[in-house]
Amino acid sequence: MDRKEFIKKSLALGVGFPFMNFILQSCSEDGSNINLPNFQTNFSGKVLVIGAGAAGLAAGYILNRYGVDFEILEANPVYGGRVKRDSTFADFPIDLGAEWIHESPSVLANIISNPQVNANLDLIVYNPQSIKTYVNGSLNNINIASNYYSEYKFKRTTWLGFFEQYLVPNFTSKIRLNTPITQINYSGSVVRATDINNNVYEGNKVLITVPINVLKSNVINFTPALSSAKVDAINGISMGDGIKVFIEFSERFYPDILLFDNIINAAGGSIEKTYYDAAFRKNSSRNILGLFAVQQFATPYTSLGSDQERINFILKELDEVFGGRASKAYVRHTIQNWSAEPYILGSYSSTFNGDVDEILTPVDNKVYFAGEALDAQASSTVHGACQSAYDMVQTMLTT
Amino acid sequence: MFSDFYYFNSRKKYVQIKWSIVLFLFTSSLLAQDIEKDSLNNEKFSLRVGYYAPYINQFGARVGFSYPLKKWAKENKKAQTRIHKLEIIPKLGYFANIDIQRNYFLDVELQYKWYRPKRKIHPKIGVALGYMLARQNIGATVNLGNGSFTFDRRSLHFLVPTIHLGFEKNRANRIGYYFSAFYGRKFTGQEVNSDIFGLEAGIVLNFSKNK
Ligand SMILES: Cc1cc2nc3c(=O)[nH]c(=O)nc-3n(C[C@H](O)[C@H](O)[C@H](O)COP(=O)(O)OP(=O)(O)OC[C@H]3O[C@@H](n4cnc5c(N)ncnc54)[C@H](O)[C@@H]3O)c2cc1C
Repeated sequence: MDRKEFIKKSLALGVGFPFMNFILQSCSEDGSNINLPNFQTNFSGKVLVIGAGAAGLAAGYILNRYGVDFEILEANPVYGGRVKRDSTFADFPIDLGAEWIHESPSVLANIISNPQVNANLDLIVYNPQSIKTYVNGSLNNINIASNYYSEYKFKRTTWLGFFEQYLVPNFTSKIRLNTPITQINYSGSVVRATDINNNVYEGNKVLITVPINVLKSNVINFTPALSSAKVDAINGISMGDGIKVFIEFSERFYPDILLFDNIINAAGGSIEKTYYDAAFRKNSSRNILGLFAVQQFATPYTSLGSDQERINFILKELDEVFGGRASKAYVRHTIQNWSAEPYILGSYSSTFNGDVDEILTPVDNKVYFAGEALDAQASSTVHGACQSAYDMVQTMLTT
Repeated sequence: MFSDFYYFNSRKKYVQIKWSIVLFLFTSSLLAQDIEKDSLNNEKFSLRVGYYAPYINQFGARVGFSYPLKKWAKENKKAQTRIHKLEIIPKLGYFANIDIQRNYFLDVELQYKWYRPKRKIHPKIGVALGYMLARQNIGATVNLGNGSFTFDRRSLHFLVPTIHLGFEKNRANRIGYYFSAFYGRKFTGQEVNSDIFGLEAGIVLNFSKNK
């Protein structure tokens, strides 16, 4: 089953990545079906959470809310995972990973799920006006497509800023950074997680939120080994390459979005590569062009040997489309190669040939899995990652 | 559906030719005919109220009045009479996709229809020129406590020429109906120009002019 079918099968609102829902959903209805669960728990032990991406942080948020002892162990020196920010490149903060809110804006309130929060957040309506396709050497306007596609983005902050401000403050001290976990031993009455420096962390239960490619790459060894059914199910989810590049130009020669496929395929949701005006409605005085490429469309960039080769390749590609204007107007760039991040190893889940429910089944009531790939309703998204964590924490604390 | 957009966009020349053909048919039908004396005094004017779906995914309503301008009859070789009629239709419309924009549309259509007196349903073609005000959502403010949100909007002004093709059944009775498809272009100095197309269906209420 590919990701599209997976989503179609399981959700009312098809979301996932930019341009997937060219046939616009009615975002103004509260289509956001994410919910912080409400439950009673007698659990009194400690939970280890592996990974401090959206799912790990959401897990921390709910565990903290239920007064459960926990610790989040994160491999990288910063938390956020595929939610990452660059605050210096432009005159607005840039999302180097997740950028769009593929849902009704109310999903943000639903993630927080706290009526006491007395704050407003400004978003931009991401409804590009100038839209071009470049197919078989020909550049065409398809501005009419702006009537079919609209999503949201943060105006002054980023996905990471949102987590920093509204989810993480109450439990920052429980996030342990620079702690790559290499082993999980759940053979005894407690679960032991060992990091790369052989430090051992103990808990009664462990929630693993690392990306599916990290699970597949055996960075983490399990004792006892995971069942073959579980391993097969994990291997059945594919997660391709991913890259984002931001380039500053001295002049603007590009449309709001440039697609490399015809509009029929775009409508079908198969667009996984685009150049887009990253400063669109951001009140920026700079010309910042973004490249978003995932799955097989990212591989031509991620497989190159160096960032210099990548930017040369990109400028050449843009020069071909825009008659040499890109290299003339080029100022500088920043590259986020997600495939090269040792604890991410790609973009996000895309095809599902395995049994996702098998992965979701707890092991010995001690080992649990969550993360973007495991949310049936909104896989490949930030809010999907949060929902998957909320659901799994509920399972963990109530069974 | 998108094949249509692509079709339109990738064949600008074709579209220009289409426009020229319509204009040609329009003027030639007026000039080349043996125009009989009008009997406009007996003609009816009509109120038309329609369901309006630009881009297919946006919905609204359109209200217009059609005023007869000219009417003439012509016989063909088989001695069949065909009536030709020219009408002007000022229309007021509203349509929206609330996630994107709300649009207020004022246009005037010059419509030409032709029919054999016994036939109740007849084809029509028209050209129209309109002004459209779009109130477009550009930002949103979400309340993180309760999830409610409001939009910030901007106004965009467009000049919109369109061509219309369709059919109508409205002569014999007080109430008739019409169906038409339209295609055109939205021109503005504030943003990029783009195509517009859509469907319209509605009822026609006929009023006798003399009453
Ligand atoms: C290029 C790109 C664009 C995207 N665009 C959007 C978008 O516009 N909108 C949207 O909603 N979503 C988007 N996504 C998807 C979104 O970013 C993810 O779905 C979501 O952030 C995943 O969260 P997660 O917690 O499941 O995984 P992650 O964020 O990957 O978190 C996993 C964490 O585990 C850590 N980790 C891994 N291995 C170990 C280990 N051995 N020990 C300890 N820690 C470990 C990692 O460092 C990481 O911090 C995009 C993703 C990419 C790559």
